[in-house]
Amino acid sequence: MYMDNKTNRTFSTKTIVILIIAPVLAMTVSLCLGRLIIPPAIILKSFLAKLGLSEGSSAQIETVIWGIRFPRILIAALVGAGLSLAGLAFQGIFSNPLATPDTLGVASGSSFGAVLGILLDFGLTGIQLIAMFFGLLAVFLTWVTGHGKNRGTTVMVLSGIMMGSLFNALISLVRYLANTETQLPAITYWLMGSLSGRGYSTLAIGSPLIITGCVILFLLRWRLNILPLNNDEAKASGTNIRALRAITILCAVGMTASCVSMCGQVGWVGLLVPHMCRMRFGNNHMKLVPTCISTGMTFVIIVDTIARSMATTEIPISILTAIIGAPYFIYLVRKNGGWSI
Amino acid sequence: MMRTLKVENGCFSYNMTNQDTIKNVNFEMKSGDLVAILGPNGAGKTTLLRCVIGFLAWKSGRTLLDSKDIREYSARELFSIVSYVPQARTTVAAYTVSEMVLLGRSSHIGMFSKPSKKDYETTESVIEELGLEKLRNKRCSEISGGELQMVLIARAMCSNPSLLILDEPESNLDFRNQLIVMQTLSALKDKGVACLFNTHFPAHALQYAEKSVLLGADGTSVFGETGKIVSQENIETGFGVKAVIGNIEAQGRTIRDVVPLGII
Repeated sequence: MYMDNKTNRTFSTKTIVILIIAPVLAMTVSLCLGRLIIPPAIILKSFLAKLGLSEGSSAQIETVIWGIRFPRILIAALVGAGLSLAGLAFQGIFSNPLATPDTLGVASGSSFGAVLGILLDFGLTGIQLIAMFFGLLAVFLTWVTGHGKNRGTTVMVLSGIMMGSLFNALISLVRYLANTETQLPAITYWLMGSLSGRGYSTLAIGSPLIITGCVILFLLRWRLNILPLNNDEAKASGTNIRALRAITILCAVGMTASCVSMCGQVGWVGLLVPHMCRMRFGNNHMKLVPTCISTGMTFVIIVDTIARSMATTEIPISILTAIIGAPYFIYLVRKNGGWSI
Repeated sequence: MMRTLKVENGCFSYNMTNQDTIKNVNFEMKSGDLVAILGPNGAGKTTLLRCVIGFLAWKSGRTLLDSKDIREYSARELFSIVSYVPQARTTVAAYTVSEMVLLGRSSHIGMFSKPSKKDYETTESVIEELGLEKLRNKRCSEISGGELQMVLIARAMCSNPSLLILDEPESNLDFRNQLIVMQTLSALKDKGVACLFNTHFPAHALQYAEKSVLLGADGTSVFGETGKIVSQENIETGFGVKAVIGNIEAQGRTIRDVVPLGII
């Protein structure tokens, strides 16, 4: 796979170009597709009009492009990058290839927080904060019950699944208590995971934590390689290992909670994307962080585009990520056996 | 620069109410010393190493590095002077060999920084020095135990340590790999690195280490010149084994060896 030392330590120019082009291309194609198919030329024209270089198209097309599709695509990109990086970070922290926001119960915990926020009529900011709080609580409980000297990677995942089912039960309780006329439909549809009808206001509230998390983890990308080492080795690297773990876990939970509060539980991304990247680029986080951001963005944009344009009514994205994700993941694992980290 | 490491009256117990696992251990070493820690299974050799380096806290007593308590060093300061080589089987991370060796530079690289050209050059020269060029792009999960041990030593060497602490570096290896590891340690010693290692093989201490710490099953210990420490009486009390120590003449050299004869 590696040609020589130079390509081994850094990306080739070709890879960098692909990593930048892929999400941009996916965004452009996604802008064209939908119930109303808009040719790329009109998109370009409209884009130039935004810069004041050309005349715009009809008001209807402008609304579809900039009012509906563009914010939604940006949210999809953020969610893709956020969930992928969160999965990568959890895998490193727990030295466990199966660790993801889903398997550690973080997604369920955050969902419970968010649902509780809806029940209590919190605003979007409040929903996000309470989602983050319960996400942190879930990962803490999973860690407390699942860690131990002689326990394998599966015990952590099992206790994560237990926490997940505990929080799912609490979600059911909230739904039971919710007002059937106003709150219950909102909660139910939101829980399915969808980007439908999300606009700039959602984006403005969800993006800061995800972008901050991405920037911090990007800056830490070489140092993240210390995380999967065992405790003594990590200490002997002279790193402040507690601080590193705390920063990483806060970033990962913050990003998961933001994603969940924007569009519900979109599963599989945190497991699928990091492993796709590991199979191609190895386990060096210096390469994995940028590739996870780019691949995650591209993946969720594509899946969301399919979700909104495949049928006349929209399919919730989480159903699609599972339908596409699960078989593809099994295929990748059977082909490459990429279970190590 | 001449460095010294001194352990003063070190006591340790895993449980405060229990008897001490390690009782009042004392030893010292300086740059260019190769010191072995000997003892039967379960005597606490690994525990002792972990206390010396500060991974476990002494119940009483202290470790002095250059006459300063190691607890007064920052992690970064300490581990740019001292390097630690864990037992080869405990590592799981599937990095390539060159990625793994490069991690040894971490104490010289800022938290938010990437390795510099100099860091890559140092890594490369250590890899060449220890003859690991062919493994460079192999994953650590796919190489043999002997190869992994050498990779972990390379990683430790990468930070140019003055003191190297190794946890059973040769215990799971075959003859050839044992020789490679022990000769590497001797070469490092000759370059002025202080090496402290624990081992199951008294013969390795006799052949390579000037000084040894012998840790008994009851937690007591003796420290001194290996020739005096590894005696038939000490082997008997320490390991519960009757042994004979003798010389083998081969290739114009005299090699000291220990042969266990029977259980007492």
